[in-house]
Amino acid sequence: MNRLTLALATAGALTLGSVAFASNDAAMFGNTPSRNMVSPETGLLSSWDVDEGTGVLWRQKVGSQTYAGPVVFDGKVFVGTNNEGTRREGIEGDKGVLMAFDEATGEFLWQATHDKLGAGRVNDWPLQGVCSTPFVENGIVYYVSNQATVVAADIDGFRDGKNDGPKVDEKLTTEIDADILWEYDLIGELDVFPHNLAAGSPLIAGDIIFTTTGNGVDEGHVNIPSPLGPSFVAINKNTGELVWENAAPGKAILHGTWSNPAFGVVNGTEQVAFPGGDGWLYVFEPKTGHLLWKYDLNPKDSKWELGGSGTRNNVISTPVFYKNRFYLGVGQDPEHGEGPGGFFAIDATLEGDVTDKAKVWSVEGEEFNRTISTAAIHDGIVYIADLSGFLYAMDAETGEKYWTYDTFAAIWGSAFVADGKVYLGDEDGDVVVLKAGKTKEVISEQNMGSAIYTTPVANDGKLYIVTRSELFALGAGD
Amino acid sequence: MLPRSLNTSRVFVAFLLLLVPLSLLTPLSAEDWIAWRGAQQDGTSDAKNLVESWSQEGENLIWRQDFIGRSTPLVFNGRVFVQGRAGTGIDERELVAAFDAETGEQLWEVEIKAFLTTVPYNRAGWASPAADRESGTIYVQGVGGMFLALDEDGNTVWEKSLLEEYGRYSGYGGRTHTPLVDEDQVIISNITTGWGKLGAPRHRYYSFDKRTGELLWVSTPGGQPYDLNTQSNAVIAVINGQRLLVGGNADGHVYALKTRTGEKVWEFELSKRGINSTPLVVGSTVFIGHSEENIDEAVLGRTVAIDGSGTGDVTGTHEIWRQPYKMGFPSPGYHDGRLYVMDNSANLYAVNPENGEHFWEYSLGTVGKSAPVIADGKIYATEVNGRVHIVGLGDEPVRLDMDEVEMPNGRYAETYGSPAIAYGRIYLATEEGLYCIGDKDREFEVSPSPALKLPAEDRGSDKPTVIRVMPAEVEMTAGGTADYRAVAFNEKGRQLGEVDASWSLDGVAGSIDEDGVLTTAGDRSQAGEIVAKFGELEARARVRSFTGLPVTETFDIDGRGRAYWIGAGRYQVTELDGEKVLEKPVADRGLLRSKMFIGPHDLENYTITADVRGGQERRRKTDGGLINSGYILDLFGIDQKLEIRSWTAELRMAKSVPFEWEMDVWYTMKMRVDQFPDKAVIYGKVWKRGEPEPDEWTITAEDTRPVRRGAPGVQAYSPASFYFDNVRIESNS
Repeated sequence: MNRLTLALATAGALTLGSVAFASNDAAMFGNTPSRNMVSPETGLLSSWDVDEGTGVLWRQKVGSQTYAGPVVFDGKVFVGTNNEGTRREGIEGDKGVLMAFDEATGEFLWQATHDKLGAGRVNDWPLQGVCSTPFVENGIVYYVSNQATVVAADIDGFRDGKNDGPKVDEKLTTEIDADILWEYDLIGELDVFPHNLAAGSPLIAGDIIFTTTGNGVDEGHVNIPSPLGPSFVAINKNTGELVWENAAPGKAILHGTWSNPAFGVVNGTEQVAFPGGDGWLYVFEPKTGHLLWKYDLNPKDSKWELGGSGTRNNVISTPVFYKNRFYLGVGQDPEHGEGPGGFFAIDATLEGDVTDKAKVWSVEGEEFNRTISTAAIHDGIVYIADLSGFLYAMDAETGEKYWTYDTFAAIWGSAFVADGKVYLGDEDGDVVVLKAGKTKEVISEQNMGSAIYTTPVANDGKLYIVTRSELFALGAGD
Repeated sequence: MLPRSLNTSRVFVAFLLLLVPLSLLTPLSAEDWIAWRGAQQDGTSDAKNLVESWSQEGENLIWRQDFIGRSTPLVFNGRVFVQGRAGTGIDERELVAAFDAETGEQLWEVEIKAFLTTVPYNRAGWASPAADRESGTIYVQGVGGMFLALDEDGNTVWEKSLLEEYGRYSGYGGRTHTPLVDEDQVIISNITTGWGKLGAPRHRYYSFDKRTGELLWVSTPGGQPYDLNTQSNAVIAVINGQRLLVGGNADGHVYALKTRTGEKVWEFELSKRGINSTPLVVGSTVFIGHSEENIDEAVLGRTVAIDGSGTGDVTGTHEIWRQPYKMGFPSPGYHDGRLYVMDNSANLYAVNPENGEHFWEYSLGTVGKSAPVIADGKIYATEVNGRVHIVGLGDEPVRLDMDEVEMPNGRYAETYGSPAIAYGRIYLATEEGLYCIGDKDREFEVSPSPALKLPAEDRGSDKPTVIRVMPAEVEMTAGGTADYRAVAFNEKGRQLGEVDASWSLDGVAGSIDEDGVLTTAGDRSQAGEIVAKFGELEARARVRSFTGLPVTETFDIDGRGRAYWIGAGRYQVTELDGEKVLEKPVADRGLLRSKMFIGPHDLENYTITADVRGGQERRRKTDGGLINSGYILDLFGIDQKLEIRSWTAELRMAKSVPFEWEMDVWYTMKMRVDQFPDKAVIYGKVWKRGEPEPDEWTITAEDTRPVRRGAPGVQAYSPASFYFDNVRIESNS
């Protein structure tokens, strides 16, 4: 099942990569297309207290389950959630929802509302909402809905008084509804069969949006009903038309396709890296979809077992591009429980099947549990959490462990590094703040009142954290 | 929230090594663990002088047996009964095994056949056995829907194929209800999609005569299920002098039913998802939790105390307290005025039952699925990642012991079951093995556990307020007879006895005499209802009546289909090219894959033949084929192959061959299963309709752990319409 397999794929965040992206051009899962969970922000709180209100600039109820966002851009904060918060009067029942809030005041601005797919849980798990963290740039919010549509929406919703197109036949058109510009149906157009939920957090490079599709097994968990449907797609961000698609893992998909693409430039060559549902990392030329290289993240003798007890893993963690390498971990749907995982640093400069030659280092098996988290890499140190609740600080060059911190709770989101600190939320709703560096030093721990399945982000000296049911803006205030 | 400082150390900290000598002189309680939550349904045992530490390596480890367990052991009459799984490859199976409680010697094992199910192997054996203390009978429900009554030596007393007889939904999750024995009944619950009025998918309760397996009543207290695999086991209570069965339902409600009739007394809406936690009843208060959406607040999870003395919908009126403990899968325990609640994240809370506030919180790990057991001033509790805790009780919890049970490869051993305490020992089933923990020097002594202590029942009046026809449903041979009786109950659900009803039939060709003896028409297969009237009271029972083989079905039917088909909701009779055919259409909602049974559940050694036609919708193609004796012969459109399988999730005996199969073309499929003493052999062949039948079988498979019998049926996966026609079922002899 999957409380969220999906989720993971989506926990929101921030970054700063070695690729030259200014973080104020766009906002996305992992701040920049490198997906590195690091931010150059400063002046962030080291502790706060949501019960007392200390450090809380504003707080807003969202749905009852939240796995996407927050992302902050152009004065707005976006969160993917479900409809249990019923912020849109007149819309009740189970829906996928993307909410927009005012960054300064927390005011609820508008929401996109998506019906659930008729097929039910196998394609669109009940009450999980929108699990895609949006990509936001140039007045447009791009995300993947629970209906497995790639959506482009006006950042202002209908609050600007205009119904921008080409799509102008929205059913909901009050000023707190979403102004959808276009929508591309991955099921209707490409026969994708998202397992449990399409949860890809899109990435844009140039004019192309990249996302995973969720393609996977049917309800029996053995058969891939649509192996010819793509796992990876590239769509023109201006027209909403397909640029290329790739169904490479096909029948080899183990469960679903829930990771996210990451982008890097290697010796002048652009690369977009897609983890496949078969546990391989596939890296393509972004404009053409031509395969550059691929890497098998599982040992050849590993075994996939239904229900989760096996040693073969898929990838839910998002790769991070850092200094001509991709860093990522392997794991499974959290419903499958804890187990042996792995975390890899892979050389991105080779071509073809690089399984036997591209591994720079890895920690595997006993040394690293299954993870669905994404890495933060800063000052040569990798901060990566696993599902079992451990946060590791490791040398980015060698994988040597500097320290381990035990949260004593499951971790679905990712560690976020900014302002010399590491922020990490867990399933018990605790956020631990540690000092970034080679020595473990806990600064504070605070409970947010509800489980955290997302990653903190920062903007303009403020922290944003969304729990399962509430969005917080945290800062020193004026 | 409390700080975690009390309890967060994963390192064993010996706060106190009191080292009380475990006296052999003290009289020791040595009672059975008669039900998965103990004799009193509250997770307690009166045992004394239990050990306060143990280790997988041998400390206080009396015996260990190789056994992969996922459930809570039952300890009864000196034996340990436990459900689990075993084997590799073709031998993969769910089983129940019996061990000598003193020595650990394995006495027997019985396979619980898993067929036509998508539950994977490593979730098999999730329910726990139940026992009848009067007869010694053990009851087990497998993940695939076989429900067995076994004597103490493992011989079958009776069995039900819940899938083929009642349309039990399998699902993938594997959460399966533990049977409940009460008085003369054994009660289980499942999501079923059967036939007639029981065709809509609902979470239903089924009561069987514990001795004979006769179906006594079926109760459908609620509506559309939110989830298709839930695990809230029912408990028995007496409230307001009325004997009640209380359980959480897949429709998010908690229901209280009269135990002897299944009549609904009250309902409480708790969640927008199915309930998995087993309720606990103390006096007239029901404690239960969930971890999903609430009906009235956009936060997840809640534990509530419900005043169980109401009637009707008590959602808004009988809630005593609510607290945010996310007790989704675990179930509460109760001892000495305190409630013990574990949440999904394996935090354990000692809770004031009056107001739900907790005295303390204690972390057991990260994933909670089991239920705490309280005995001898200690809590014994497991956590999914193999952690077994012994916690001393008091104003503050005291960490006495924490062991991490590991697999030989160092990975944690999945532990979903709860401890069982009997004969001064702790019995524990894990993925790694079955453990008996205790003082090795202590004398082993067996005695029965006390009966479930319940308040006295109010006898009520002698006036019948409801009648039930028993058996509630019969599957029989056309032209044969079946005996029905009408039984009256009063307002308290007390049985008043059999009554002299007047009998009639609704939709059944045949006759019923004044004594309730039904004779069905011998010339047809059919299904319908038996009606009993007693004064103003009316009750109905059901029958499915089948002719012998051979049978032919050409689908020349007015209407959607035959009344006696099981799971027919996604099929319809339609016209194609001027012929009446059976269609599995593209589903507007829900799954595209569905199976349907068209005959009795106990056929064996037969052959089924049918014409089939698949279709294509853009990149997707249909799969589909036949069912015979628990096996499937399946054509795969996309994969262009032909497969024989039984356990869909495991393919333990499956075989497949490449097969070029054109869409929108009629083929004929033939499937034969031959039973031999040591195996079943399954044959399949497919050819274009109208062409000569090939001499050779296209595919053959053998199963050395055979399913011995089963209903004929069809199954299809339909991104486009899949059609069947001209089904013929004939004996192999």
